Amino acid sequence: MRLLLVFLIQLVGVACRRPHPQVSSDTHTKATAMATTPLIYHCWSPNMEFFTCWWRPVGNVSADEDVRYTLSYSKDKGPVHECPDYVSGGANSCHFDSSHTSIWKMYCMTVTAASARRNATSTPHCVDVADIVQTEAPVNLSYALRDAGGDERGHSALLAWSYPVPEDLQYGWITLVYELQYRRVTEPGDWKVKPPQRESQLELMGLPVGGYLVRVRCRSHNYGLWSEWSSPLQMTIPARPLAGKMLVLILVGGLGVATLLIICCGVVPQGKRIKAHFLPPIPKPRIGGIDPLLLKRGRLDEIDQHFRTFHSYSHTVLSEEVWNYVSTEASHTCALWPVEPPPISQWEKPAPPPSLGDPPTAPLDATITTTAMAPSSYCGLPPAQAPYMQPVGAGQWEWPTVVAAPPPATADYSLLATQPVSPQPPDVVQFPQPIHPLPPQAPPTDFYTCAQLLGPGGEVNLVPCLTPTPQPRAPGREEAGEELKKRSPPDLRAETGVSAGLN
Amino acid sequence: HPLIDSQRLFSIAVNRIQHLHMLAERIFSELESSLQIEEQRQLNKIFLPDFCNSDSIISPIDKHETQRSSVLRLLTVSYRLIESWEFPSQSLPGGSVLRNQISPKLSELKNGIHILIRTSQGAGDALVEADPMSPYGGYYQALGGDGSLRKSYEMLACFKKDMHKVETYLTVAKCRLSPEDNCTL
Repeated sequence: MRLLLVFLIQLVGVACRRPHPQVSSDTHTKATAMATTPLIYHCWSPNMEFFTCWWRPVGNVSADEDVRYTLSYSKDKGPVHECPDYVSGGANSCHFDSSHTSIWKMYCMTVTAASARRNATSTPHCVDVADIVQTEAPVNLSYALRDAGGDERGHSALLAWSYPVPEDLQYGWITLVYELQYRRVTEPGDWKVKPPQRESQLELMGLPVGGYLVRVRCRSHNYGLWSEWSSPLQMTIPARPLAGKMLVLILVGGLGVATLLIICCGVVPQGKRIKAHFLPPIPKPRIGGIDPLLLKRGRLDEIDQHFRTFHSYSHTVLSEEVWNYVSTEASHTCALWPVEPPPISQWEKPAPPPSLGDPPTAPLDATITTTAMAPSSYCGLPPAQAPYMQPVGAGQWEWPTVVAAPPPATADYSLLATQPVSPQPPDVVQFPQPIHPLPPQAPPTDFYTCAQLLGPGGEVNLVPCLTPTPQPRAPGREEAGEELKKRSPPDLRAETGVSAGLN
Repeated sequence: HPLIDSQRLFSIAVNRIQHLHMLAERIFSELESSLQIEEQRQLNKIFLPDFCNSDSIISPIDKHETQRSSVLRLLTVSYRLIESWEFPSQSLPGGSVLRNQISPKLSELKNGIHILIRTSQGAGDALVEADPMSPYGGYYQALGGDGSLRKSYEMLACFKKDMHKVETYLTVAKCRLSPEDNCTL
């Protein structure tokens, strides 16, 4: 029962298969018209299990003539048999099913056309079934696109197909090899051939973007004929979409451009403000109540206004030069010596010593010293107690830096203010108190004393700083503040040294 | 492990016979292409069977019978077929290069099949003994003497057929042992 079922199935299967289209119908009909004998022109087996043969009928058949065809065959010089099946293979065919098929045996067949009038027999046609195997064409050719992955660009296409009759391949009876070909749609005839393979899938990698046609065929390994081509597959490789890497690049690039724009258009113009916000400047030392700008460019009366609060400040006097009396005495007793109060006559007009090199600009510049360079300096030599003193006459006394300036800008005015300012006897040297009574005509700017010499006994000769010469020059006032600032460190040291020495 | 060894040996044997079959096909098609078209047609259609000396060896002739045969039987038949060509292959027509390749390969394959038979059945070499009825050696020498085209054609056709047989039998036997190995769907 089962055998019958199998047979029926095979019958149906064979009936569904098309006869082998090896011969075009044109030549077929032409040859048929001419033929006087039938001719077996083609035998075919799809799986080495059964086969079919076709013959060309005789021509010149009149309408009423009834021609019967008979196919006789023998296997390997065995007995002659008639064709078991004239139907399954179509007209003028003989089908040998699996029970009638032997492999590796030679089938020799002849076809006889018999009609009422004549008989015609074809020449024998011998086949070994193993030699006429032509497998079916592969079917279900499909593709799937995959990202190439890694550093590769583009896509890879995974092609897959299948054999239409898988049971033919059972038990290893037939071993198939496949051959795939593909071409670009725009290049007809330029088929690229992949080497034969046993697997029924293949990955094509690195295909450029575009449309392709793919086809595949198969064959029994080592023998037989190639199958027909499968129906061609249209395949399109799309342009590569933005992958993760590209997105990241675009994102980073966009961020960078945006940052640049922000910096150029937003930050740079507001640079100073932002800088001030994040890094506040260290405040410069300020004198409470004094605006340094004022000193720089302020007018004299404004400055006076500011400084009036300070002790012993006497505002600048724009007056004529104050001539100090110069004594005509021969003895050059210096006003420095605390021994005797210097006569006023010993005051000399302060003249800027050329060695100072400073322009006698500031009205407060009391460093225009007593060093009148004239040999007739009012400052006489001390008694020989001070041998380290420079000899008078040998040169001018040059005190470019010893004299103290008016208190520097950083001086502690409060200190000055707290100390009682009162004239004291000259034997008590207290800086910055005046060491000797002010001469009545002495200008009130006798507040500042200048240390001039250090006596042998550690005594300091203080000299009242000379009145600053009033300067008609306007620019001098502006530089007052600067002078104040400039002279601070060395002079302060000198002053403090003095006071230390004294104490 | 005997099973794995057997599979490995089968793989080797199948590879070897596939190669021999491919050589046989190549030699035959070279001869065929050197013929005139008319000669081709004649030879293809008229020559009579029963000229192969291996016809005396009984072997399965279709899929059903092959599937029914035991592995041992398939191996034995293959062994005999290979043995029948071991020496006559030296008088095969065609280029001497190919001819010199074929005979040693046949000997190697014969030994391999012998080993497979031994691992398959264990003991008893009774089936392997050569059939004394067939004088393998002399058959083709007698034929090949006159160097006729027909004789060459027939000899090559026989050789090709027998190689195909052995390849089919060994492939089926191998699939029987490891069914998942490229055998079916």
